[in-house]
Amino acid sequence: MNLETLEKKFREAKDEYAKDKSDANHDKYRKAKLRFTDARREQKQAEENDENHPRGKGLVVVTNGEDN
Amino acid sequence: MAVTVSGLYVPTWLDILDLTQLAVDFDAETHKIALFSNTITPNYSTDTAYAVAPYNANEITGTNWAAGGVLVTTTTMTESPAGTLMFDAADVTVANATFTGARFGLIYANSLAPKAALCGVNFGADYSPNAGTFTIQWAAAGIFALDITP
Repeated sequence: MNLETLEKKFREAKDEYAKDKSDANHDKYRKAKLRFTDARREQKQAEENDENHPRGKGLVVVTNGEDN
Repeated sequence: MAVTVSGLYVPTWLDILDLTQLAVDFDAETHKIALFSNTITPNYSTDTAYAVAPYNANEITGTNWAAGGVLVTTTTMTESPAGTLMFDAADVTVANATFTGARFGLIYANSLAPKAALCGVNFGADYSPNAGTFTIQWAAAGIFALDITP
């Protein structure tokens, strides 16, 4: 499942939990959030390991313009 | 005066954890990040909120970066790795931005009054985009992590 889909499922689970704080919804919210966060972390880690990706160049990056 | 370190704000965490029960939702989509120059000196033991000293002066603003800053989105507080609480979010990206001398980012709870300071981020250098895309890319390990099972 790609990151965009996992994010969508996380947001849906979060919205459901916000409306109804049942134990079942709490469980779904926590699991969806964890799946999404793990996938996002893995993607970021891959980008950090890629020497051609801007993420490896530091916390703040300025592109498509000048950094005076 | 200068920014030297990043950190979390002790007053905020005390208020979250004690009788004050400050209602900070780290998964909220309402937190913002404001930029400041290297003129300020954050004090993580006493600073409390955006728009309260020292965060009531020396704020960086410009084209496509207004006072108050921008939203920090897709925020999550999760256990990652085991025994560690990780606060993460989508990278902050603003296109066609022009401003001068951004050294520090203050992440704060914009939905609260006062706007509780959550995390201070030292950029390590001044950034001055000129019609450029300004991106804050959070590390894979998150914006911050609390290892509560050392």
